[in-house]
Amino acid sequence: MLVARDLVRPEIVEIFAEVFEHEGPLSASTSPGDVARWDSLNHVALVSMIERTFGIGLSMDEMIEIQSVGDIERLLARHGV
Amino acid sequence: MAITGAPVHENQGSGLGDKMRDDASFQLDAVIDTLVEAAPQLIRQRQLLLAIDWSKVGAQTVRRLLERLADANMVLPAWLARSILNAGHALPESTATMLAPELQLLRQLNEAGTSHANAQTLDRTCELAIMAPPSGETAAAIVRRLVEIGAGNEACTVALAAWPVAPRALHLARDALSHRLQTLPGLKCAVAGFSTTSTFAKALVPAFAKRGIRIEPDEAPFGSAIAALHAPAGDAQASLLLLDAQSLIQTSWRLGLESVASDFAARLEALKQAVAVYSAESALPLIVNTLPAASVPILGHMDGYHQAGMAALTRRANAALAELAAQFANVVLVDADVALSRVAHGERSDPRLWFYGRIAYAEAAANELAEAFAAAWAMRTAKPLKVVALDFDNTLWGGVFGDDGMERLQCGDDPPGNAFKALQEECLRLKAQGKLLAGLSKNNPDALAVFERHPGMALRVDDFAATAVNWQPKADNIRTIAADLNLGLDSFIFLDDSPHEREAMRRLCPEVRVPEMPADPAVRPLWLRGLIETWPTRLTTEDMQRPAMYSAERKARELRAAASSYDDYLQGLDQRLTIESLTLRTLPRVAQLHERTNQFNPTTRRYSEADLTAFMDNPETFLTLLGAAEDRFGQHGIVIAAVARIDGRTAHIESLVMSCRVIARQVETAFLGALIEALCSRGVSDVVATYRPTAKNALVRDLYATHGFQPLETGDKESSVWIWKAKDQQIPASPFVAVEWSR
Repeated sequence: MLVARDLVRPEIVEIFAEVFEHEGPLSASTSPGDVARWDSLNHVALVSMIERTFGIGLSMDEMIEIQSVGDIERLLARHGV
Repeated sequence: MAITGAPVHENQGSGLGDKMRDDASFQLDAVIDTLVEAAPQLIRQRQLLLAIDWSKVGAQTVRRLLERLADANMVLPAWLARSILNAGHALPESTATMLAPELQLLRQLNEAGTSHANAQTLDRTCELAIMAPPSGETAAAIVRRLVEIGAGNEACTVALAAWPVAPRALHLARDALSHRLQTLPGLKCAVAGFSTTSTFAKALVPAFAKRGIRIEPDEAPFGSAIAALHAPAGDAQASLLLLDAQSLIQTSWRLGLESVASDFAARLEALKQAVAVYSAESALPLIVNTLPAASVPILGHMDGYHQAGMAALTRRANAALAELAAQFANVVLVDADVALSRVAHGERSDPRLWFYGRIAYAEAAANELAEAFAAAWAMRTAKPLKVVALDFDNTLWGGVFGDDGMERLQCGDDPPGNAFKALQEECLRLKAQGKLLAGLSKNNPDALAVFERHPGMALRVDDFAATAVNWQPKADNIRTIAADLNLGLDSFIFLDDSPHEREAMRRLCPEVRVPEMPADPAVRPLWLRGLIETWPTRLTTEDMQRPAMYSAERKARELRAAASSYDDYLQGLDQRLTIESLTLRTLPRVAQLHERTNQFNPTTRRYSEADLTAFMDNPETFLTLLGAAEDRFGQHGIVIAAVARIDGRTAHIESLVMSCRVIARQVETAFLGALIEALCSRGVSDVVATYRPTAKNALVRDLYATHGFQPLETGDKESSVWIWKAKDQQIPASPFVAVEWSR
């Protein structure tokens, strides 16, 4: 796979636009502090969108683990996506 | 995983994403080309082609696919067409015929591309979406396309119509929705619960927007439902209370099973008191849901009957809520099991969300509940439905009365007629709930006789508060009925199997609610039950008496008007009946009438061609007559026949059969008159006739009584014997049927 460290997948860009209406730049270090609508309620929507888009199921631990875009990439890699 | 190739839309995703794909895409294109070349074989095996992400395949490749299929003399299968259209591709018009309506529209939208938007297509898309919301992927594809061509308002309408089944479509139309919201009247609602209400509150926005309302949910602090009910927010116009079983039945098992039940009872009491206080202090609506059935029991199969069982506790809570709703008019109950019927049992809650944030309902369930709350609100304020206007042919029975005749109409206890009878039973249920039934049929007025004379009908003519059975446009008829009943058109719903009639009604009477009735009669009874427009909010004694009141009124009205108008109708028919004796030429048809006629057949004697030939060969004893009918609409052929046996001065009518095609037109009266006249001319003074009841011939039970026959003493309980005496009675005659003899 060709995942460059500092590149964010287009699907994630799309998800952030849909869930958080976030159109700004994204990087692995983007965290809830950088995205206006990334609160605990929308976090739930983020997780369900990730599950739907990539066809995976996340545990509660994994839900809590997601604290940045980089965390999402690592999770996806772990799920073989 | 989806197999993807080169992108259609150059600007899709970010440039970074394209860079990632570069190396793989070259080979991928080759793979997809191979699949497309092999498409005819793959389609036969339903293999691989569905795995292609068509949104990332070029238009050229789709064209090649169609060429390959054309070479192989194959049509594009519907499942593949859906997948390709959902991905945004255009398909040639020749593929449109086999597509579902929503896909036909998507095809047109895809074909138009980004260049222009045909106003008519846009209107049709919105209408269809509201009548029959498209499924998830297709809804999203339509909305995406509408957004692309700048038809934001239409995109919003379609997305809201498809919500909550297709939540993704709404994401795509979110900008249009925020514009729409600014134009809608606001409604401040207090939202409270015993668990986190924020996902529910968020879902309320589209649910109410769908009904033209911009809801402003004001959420009470977490878990503070009781406090919120005791002290409602000052400016809220309604309160929404979201209940869930997890929070209400949360307890410590250390206390033992007994205490669990009493602990729960105490919580329930607190809730009841809070609702009572709220209702006593303000008349503002309080919408509250029941507890849905639990997906996992606490006590296994004992769950329903042990007092500490989850199902038993749920039932107790719901009974308490039902009492509150009965006691306080402002309390509106949303039945959670009804609201969540589209969400699988095990998916109504998501344990991760519960432990993560005390969110009791999974996203899909919260959406459906929000939808049900909004629908309940809209039903409170909507004009109540009062009249169900019903088509006859292929709606209340299978077949067309005018073409098939009464005998062949499908309705009864056997398939396929039992589905039609079940729909009639549903109509009777609606009537029992206080709705009025109206008959709206393009037919000759004698179609109404079907309800009285066809043995399979559940409905009777009396069940209709009003009927309009004629050849006028239904929109005109429904206006007349509305005026007669003194009700507005907005209290009508119209059920018709014909898309043309539905379309015409929507165009000409937009106030009338016209749902898309399913094409398969088997699914219609349950569909009608589920039709939310017909759901009652409260049932009063008056509701249940209303149909009877209207029915009495209707009879009075009919006595005034209809008696003369039916005569007018018969007069206008200009009927002629040609009578002749049986001949070899007419033998097969007369035998067939004897064989097939069940209803208009007082003796049910099945005379065969051989029997009839024997009568023909013995003209001294047997008189066999037949009649051919014709009216201003055309010829009906031989529709009636009789066999009489002459015994000195007495004649016995051995058989009398008539096709139901000409029922209720006095053809039988004219024919009976001709028969008696012929018998009299041969010296007969008394005519004896018998009625032998069967399961199907109740239609002619009173035939002889209504034609001047007198009952004759009879030893047989089952049959009745009648006599007509030349010295006492007139020969029967009809002013509406001209009789001619053909000799």
